[in-house]
Amino acid sequence: MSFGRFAPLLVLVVLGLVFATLNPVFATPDNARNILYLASILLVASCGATFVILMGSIDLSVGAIATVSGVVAALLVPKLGAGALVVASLVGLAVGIVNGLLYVYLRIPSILVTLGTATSLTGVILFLSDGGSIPIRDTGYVALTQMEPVPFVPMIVVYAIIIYAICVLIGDRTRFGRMTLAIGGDEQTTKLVGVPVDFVKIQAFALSGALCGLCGALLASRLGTATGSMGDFLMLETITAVVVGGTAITGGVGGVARTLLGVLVVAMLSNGMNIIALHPYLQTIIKGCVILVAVIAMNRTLSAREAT
Amino acid sequence: MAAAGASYARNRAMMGVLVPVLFLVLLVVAFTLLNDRFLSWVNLFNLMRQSSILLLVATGTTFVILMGAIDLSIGSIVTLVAITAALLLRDSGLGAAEVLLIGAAIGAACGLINGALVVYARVPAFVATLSTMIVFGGVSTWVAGGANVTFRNADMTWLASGKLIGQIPNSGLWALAIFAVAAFVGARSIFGRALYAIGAGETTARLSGINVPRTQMVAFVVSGVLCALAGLMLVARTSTGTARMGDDLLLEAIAAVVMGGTALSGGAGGVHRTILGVLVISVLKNGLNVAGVHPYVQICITGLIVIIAVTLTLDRSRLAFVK
Amino acid sequence: MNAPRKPILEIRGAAKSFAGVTVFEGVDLDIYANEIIGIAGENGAGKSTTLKMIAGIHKPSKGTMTLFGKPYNPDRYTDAVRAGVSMVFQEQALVPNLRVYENFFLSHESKFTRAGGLVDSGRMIELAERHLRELGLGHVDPRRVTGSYEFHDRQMIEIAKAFVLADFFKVEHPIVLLDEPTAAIGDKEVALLFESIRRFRDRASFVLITHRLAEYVTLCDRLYVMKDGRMVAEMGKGDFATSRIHEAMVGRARDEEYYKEGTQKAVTAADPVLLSVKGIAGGHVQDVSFDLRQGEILGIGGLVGCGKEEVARAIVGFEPFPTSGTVTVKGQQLPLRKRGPAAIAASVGFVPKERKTEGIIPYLSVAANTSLAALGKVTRLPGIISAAKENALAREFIKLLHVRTTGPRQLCQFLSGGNQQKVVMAKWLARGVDVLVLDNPTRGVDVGAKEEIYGLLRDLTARGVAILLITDDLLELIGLSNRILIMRDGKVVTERPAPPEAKPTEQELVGFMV
Repeated sequence: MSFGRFAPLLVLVVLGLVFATLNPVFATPDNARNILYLASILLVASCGATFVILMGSIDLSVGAIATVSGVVAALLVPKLGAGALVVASLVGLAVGIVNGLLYVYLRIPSILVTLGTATSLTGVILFLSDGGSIPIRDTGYVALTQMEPVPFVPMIVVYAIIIYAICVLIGDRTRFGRMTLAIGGDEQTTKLVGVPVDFVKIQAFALSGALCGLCGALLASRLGTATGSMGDFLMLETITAVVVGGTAITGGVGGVARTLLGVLVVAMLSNGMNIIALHPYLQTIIKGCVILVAVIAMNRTLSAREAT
Repeated sequence: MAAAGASYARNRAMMGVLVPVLFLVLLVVAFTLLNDRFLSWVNLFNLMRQSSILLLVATGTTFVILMGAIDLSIGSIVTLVAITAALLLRDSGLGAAEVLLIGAAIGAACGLINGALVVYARVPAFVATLSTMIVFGGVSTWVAGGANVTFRNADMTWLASGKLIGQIPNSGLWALAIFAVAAFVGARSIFGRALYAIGAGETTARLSGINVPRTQMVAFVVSGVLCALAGLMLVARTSTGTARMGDDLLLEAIAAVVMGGTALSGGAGGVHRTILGVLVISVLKNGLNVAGVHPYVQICITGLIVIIAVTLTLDRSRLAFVK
Repeated sequence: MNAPRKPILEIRGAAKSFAGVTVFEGVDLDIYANEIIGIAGENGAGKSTTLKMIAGIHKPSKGTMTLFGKPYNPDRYTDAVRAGVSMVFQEQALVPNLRVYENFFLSHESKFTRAGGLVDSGRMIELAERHLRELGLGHVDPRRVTGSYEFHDRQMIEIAKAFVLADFFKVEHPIVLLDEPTAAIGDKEVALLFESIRRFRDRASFVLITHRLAEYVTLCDRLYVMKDGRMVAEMGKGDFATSRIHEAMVGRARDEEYYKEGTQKAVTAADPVLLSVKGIAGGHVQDVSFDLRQGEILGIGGLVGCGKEEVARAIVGFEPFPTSGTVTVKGQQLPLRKRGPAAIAASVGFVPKERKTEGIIPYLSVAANTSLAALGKVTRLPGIISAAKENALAREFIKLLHVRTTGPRQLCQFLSGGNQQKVVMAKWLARGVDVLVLDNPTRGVDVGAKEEIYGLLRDLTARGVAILLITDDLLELIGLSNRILIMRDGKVVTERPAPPEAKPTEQELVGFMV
């Protein structure tokens, strides 16, 4: 296809080479493991975010949902063990449904709704965690993600890949997947021909919420603890991953399949910047710029395609 | 059908003002019942002090929203200017006047960056300001070096807490004065009209000779400067600069603008309406405080009530499709 | 054409009101099998709403509908589709980023799902391919993204969709409603479209709405005429000619007075050249040059894609526009960058084709729209708009142009198309223009308002304004212009003077267009 489709792959390779050259530690199996952790967490959350963005909406509560679910999971691990994962996903699902309902029935733009829920959730998070962190002492729970069936490849990678595969299937082969694409492309027509747009929207937010919830629980397992700000990085990084992967921020173009590359780029970038000991504040700035670059590049590709 | 349209528009306009006012009255009554300290002069002046920051930010944001864009970096700009000002006041020996100018300049620069991304790089405003929100935030934490910055400056303190007129805190006066000017500009100036035109029909505005790029740049710069003023007011009041001190303002400012009656899609409402929304939110926060509600719960409730209030006041007839 | 017994769709006594305002009432209409009928009428006569009622988009306030002998009461468009009634929309109700087969079956995928809710695309594609072949549309690939097809093919795809879904829901003989299908296409595409419709007549019935009366004559077997919300005439083939249709629609005979040819201003070489265009090239345009004199109406005609609209855009700087060549207004050449503002500064006004998104701002008032290009004129203090001055300016033009509105503060969205167009013109008159470029200025405007606009254009030329008229309406082109340029494939292929006593015929010009 066009150059644009392979750009993320190219970027990935270039980044890999650059970081490996700057600091050979980057290319070690140990570090590869770190990248895999990061990428897996991000992938789970980004899959859900992709559907929302495909429709032309946005979910800014991604981080808050992950955090609150992670905190809930950490609190419940002593009683439920691995079952906490399920509860966390349900929490995420519930918040996602609330987002969807508010968006659809109250007709509030998704920016506001998700900002609002994110803010409200902050209060809940503070309340549950009392401003501190909740350590997880159950080694079994921690092993859920950190166990390594293959050396240097933690279990979480398997979960992430399974979820990714399911989401790709959903996106490509189900009515729901097709309808999110249609809504993002032309909502008016889609509604006219009888697609239950409202229901699809709620489903998309519900799915995103559930996946964020799962992500939060996995994150807690990975970290061995849950803190009040552990999911913050997700908001920007999921959107970045989705856009870098090749889904238009305005929707209608792209899909879950592309998000994998985007996630790898973001994960590699994050990790690489750490490895070369780039100043943390500079790292934040660079991350902020990446999404800009991705959008501008996407604009160019789209308008070039239109001109032909 | 023409007649139907006219009375509908009139009703909508009335509703647009009535609902927030009603809300306001309800809140005031509720809080006074919970704690009669709410209606005391002390608390009212407190309210003025607390709301002046939001008023400045929300006013600036209205310009951007009116033209159909959005600025997610407003909280970060407030923080950036606040921390930089605090540092300058503590370490550089510059006086309040110079720091004010530098702060405003920083705000303008941030606005220029936002504007350039949206206008020249054609990045959707939402994405551009999401990025600058992160970037400006990164710069703030870098500059602050991870600690709070406190200083002592009598001029600055007077700026916020001095009393030019009677017992009214200065911060309230400045905020109101700036709001009044901004409201007038928004409603009656050519620049203001250009904002409405761009928000309601950008292509037509462009084809009719409205200088769209310049208007958009100016709007972002105005937003940046007003955020800077808010940041300066904030440090003047607290004599401290902390990381993330402006973060809450994003949701509150947007909610205030929408509650006041300006459509998120632009082209309707106005700067003059924003004060209503600001009052509702400020009364809400102040009242929850006075009523002794737990801070964590306060955050929850604020988020919830903002959603409810926005729901009630959003003019959905103009939103063909909510995104 | 045969004479079938019973109608497949019967409408009796239908009426529709919105918020107490009656759009139409007492409407009786029959559709028989294998026929093409038309519904003619001015804007506001009720024909569009009638069509939408048949399509289930509006519910009738009164009356009954019977389809294939059974009561027909669709609650929404999807119900109509299930019953065998489909609509071809002006801009196609197709989602551009979906593939053709996905668009065919959008929202009906449940019939194609296998276990686990997975959609069987293979079967959909097969079905789509079969139907496209049967309809003679084998060149359409159901796997291609719909947006990548040209307008004409997208129209065909939407018609095909009607047949696909009719078959899907086991309806033998669908009814296809065509809502102004020719509004945005040129004569060649119209011919293709009509040919296809005639071919499909053996398996469906069609209902046509169009603003070009001649098309009713060309295509329809029977014609209904609506006026002011009532059915005023039903004509069989052979009964109707455009003049009779026109008469029934507006109640008076049409004559050459319509284009006000009597007041066409005589323009000679002595009149100064206000606009000079040389070597315009780029995109569809190959090389176009011409001069426009004071008081002259220069008309440019040609099929869709000939490049005439791009020429207009190059003059007024409306991106994207062909960038080669020069545009000179009153002796000053317009720059390439920021040509738009430069053109406006040189007193060139532009009345664009898309009224609602390029001409007016529907959510702003008549006054705000009128002053939009002349904000400097309605200030008292520098930079501050005076509401009094603005309203006075608006009132002046409301009166001058006979704009039907409740007042300067009414929002433009509540005005009819013709009156909205008058506001667009008022905007430029308020500013004052020396050159006016018009792109299809009477598209979607009813007959009465068109006449008023023609009168206005004549007045403007009398006052010395130079007018460039780009239009797809051949009769308008001939009637209004002093001189006519025909473009084909990006070049001007003929220039023909058109004085009132020696107007060219349509046949003559069409010969150059194709």
